[in-house]
Amino acid sequence: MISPSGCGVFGILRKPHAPKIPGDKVVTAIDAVSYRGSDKGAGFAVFNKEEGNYYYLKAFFLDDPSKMKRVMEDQGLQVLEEQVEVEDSGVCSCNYKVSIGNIAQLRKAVRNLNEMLWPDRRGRIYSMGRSLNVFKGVGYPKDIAKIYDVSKYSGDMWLAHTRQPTNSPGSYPYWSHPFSSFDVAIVHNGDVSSFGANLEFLQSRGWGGFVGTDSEVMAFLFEELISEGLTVEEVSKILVNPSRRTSAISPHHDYLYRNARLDGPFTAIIGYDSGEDLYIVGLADRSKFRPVLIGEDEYYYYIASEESQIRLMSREAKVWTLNPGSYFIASLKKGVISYGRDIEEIRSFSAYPSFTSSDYDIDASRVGYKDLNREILKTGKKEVKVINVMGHRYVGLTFPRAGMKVRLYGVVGNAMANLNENNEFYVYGNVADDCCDTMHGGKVVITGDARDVLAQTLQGGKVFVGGNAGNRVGIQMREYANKRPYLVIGGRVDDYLGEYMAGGVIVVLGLRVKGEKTGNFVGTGMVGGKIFVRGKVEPEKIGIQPNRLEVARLLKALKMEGYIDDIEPTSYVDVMNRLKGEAKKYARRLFEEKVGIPTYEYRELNEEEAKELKEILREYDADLGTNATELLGEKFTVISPSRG
Amino acid sequence: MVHKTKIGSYFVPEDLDEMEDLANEGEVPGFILDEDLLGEDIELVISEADLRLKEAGVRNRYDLLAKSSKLRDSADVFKLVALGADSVIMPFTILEVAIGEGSKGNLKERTFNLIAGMRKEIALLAGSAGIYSIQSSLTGNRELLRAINLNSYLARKIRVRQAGSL
Repeated sequence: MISPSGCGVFGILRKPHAPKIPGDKVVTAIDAVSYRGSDKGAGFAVFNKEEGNYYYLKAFFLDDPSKMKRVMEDQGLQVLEEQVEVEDSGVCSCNYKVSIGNIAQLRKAVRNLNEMLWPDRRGRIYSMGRSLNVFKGVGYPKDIAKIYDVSKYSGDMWLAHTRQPTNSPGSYPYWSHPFSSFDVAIVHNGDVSSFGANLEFLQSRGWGGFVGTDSEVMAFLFEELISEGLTVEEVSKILVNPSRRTSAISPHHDYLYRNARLDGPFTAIIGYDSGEDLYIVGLADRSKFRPVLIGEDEYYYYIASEESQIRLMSREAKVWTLNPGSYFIASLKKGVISYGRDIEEIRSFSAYPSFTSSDYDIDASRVGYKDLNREILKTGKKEVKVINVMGHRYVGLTFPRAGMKVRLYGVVGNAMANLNENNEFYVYGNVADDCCDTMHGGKVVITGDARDVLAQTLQGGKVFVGGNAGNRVGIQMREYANKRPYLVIGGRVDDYLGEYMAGGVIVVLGLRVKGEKTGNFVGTGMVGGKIFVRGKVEPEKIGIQPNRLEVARLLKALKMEGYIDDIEPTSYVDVMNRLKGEAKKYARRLFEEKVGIPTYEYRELNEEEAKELKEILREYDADLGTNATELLGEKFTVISPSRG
Repeated sequence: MVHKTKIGSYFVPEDLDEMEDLANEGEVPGFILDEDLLGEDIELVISEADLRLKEAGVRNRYDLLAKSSKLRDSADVFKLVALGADSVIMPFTILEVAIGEGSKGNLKERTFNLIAGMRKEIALLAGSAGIYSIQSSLTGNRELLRAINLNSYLARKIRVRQAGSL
């Protein structure tokens, strides 16, 4: 069965006191998610800091390898050693050790070579760096690891990738990840829709000879911006392209580096050797359309597509997700430079799960990622306990309509309890993306965290989360006939909570967090149902609102036309509360879609609401051992559809 | 050099050589390229101006504004931005059309509708192109455009590939 998916990525950096990372561990961590990719490309990049005055170049070449050296020398490169590493399906991979005479000259020579070789597909220099070594080709990660014997290497930092090609072919190794530029390597999951604009930016600065994969521009942009003298953090901030309403980029950089920023869905990991230090960078696009997990333990920093990749290497690592539109940066010598999230928020993520329990029915450690359903049904029992769950997907998809009760220990993979009708799931640990999609009834209880797109089109039953939930939680929830779904989150959530919601109830309790309990764009486009968040949510986080500058401009125009007197331009929701009549209508027509921006109230619950929630929270408390019912007397932010 | 035409602080060059000279001198915030003045299709003019400034390595220091009496709707704006314009000046004609000849309705109302409508249309076009940020991701992003019934000489000139290309 072919199951289309995104790509899978992995990155790891050691801390100064930690031993080097052996290649076979990295192979295991990327192989664990090889179902995210295909046989159309995979690769590894290893950085090994050493004091040497040499550069290592690696080239794919379709011609006689001995000719390549001559071509390189014609460009003024001093080749000290050459070696044919691998020959595979007519393409050879050759290694060259060159002396660093003049670094600018070296860069120019490599660019010239690629511009010369690429147009008629004769070859490609694909890895260049003092400490960097890229291994890539056509196949699954395991195949590439075998061809290059990756497990014999160890390093200070690794990147790995398994590829699901979307916008360039997968028939030659040129298009596989990692992509490399001078001392830079990147792996990427997603699509870069700003690709054309980025190419123009690079071309205007003298770059050429692109292989035509969107991901490739990231490596070049990173190198170009670093060589402008920007810091790794400044470059990351520009690349990740945060929304202007956050004012994260200075107006000067914003203007100067337009066309150098990334747009579209992406999770990228960048490795960089500055000469003094090694950096690992994880980027998440501003809607976080691709999964990314960050992990840290005593010895290493991890960046991964799925939690199971990190847990395979370190069961007790602290794991959190990137905020949409943010970046994680750590270096070998400086430690963490940016966490990609507020420190308070990181503390609120659940502790590592216990993978075991006594008297279990199934040990999932030897069960394939999509075979767990079969094993559970094979027991013939109605109540089944499974331990060592590690990224297993689609749990519950083939269960009978009702009567099953499963207890899962560990980290459950994507798409658990999808289309569930009346079964019950208890997870002692965390659950990956897309849990409880289109569930009609039954119950799901998660003691730890849930990730993105939890409870999409939930339309019956209850979903209780003890910890945090991710991005786009409870979107398109609905109710019909006598079905009314309930989603209760104990911790906090990220952006787009209850987007396009049409029915049911979402409660965010924020039990473990002091700070903000939701991200931005709460209830965008909602037409039914209700969202309750304990405590105050800033009004600017509701729906998609115009920024203050736009609001100020409209107010100025309204005043000029005599509709209003002076109104201080604050948040859009505040301003709307003060506008009346024609002025309000103009604002709505200019800034709102048909369904409008949701209604926002910060108040105590009314009798009817308190009664309904009390019943639900009593059950939540019983399942998760909390005292949420006692909090019902507090003030809540209540978000409901626009009243028009 | 004496600058003859000036709107606000932007300059209105009479041909692209003049624009490039001024750009190399560096004292100008940007240029308004007027199809009616330059006598060539605005798409070709804008694309060439964008590429020439890029060639000179100074593109991101300047604003390029496209102006023409032939422009009609938000798709024109979107297309010109993708071909390299930072901003597009719409002709007075569209306002006249929107207000409508002999219309009895509220003129202010109709103007407002025109602006609000174009704003939403551009947001829709950006959404279907998969981008958030018009200024950063659309400006000069010819990769998002494809040519239909455009002769190959022109398509090459504005660097837009034929429909169906990957």
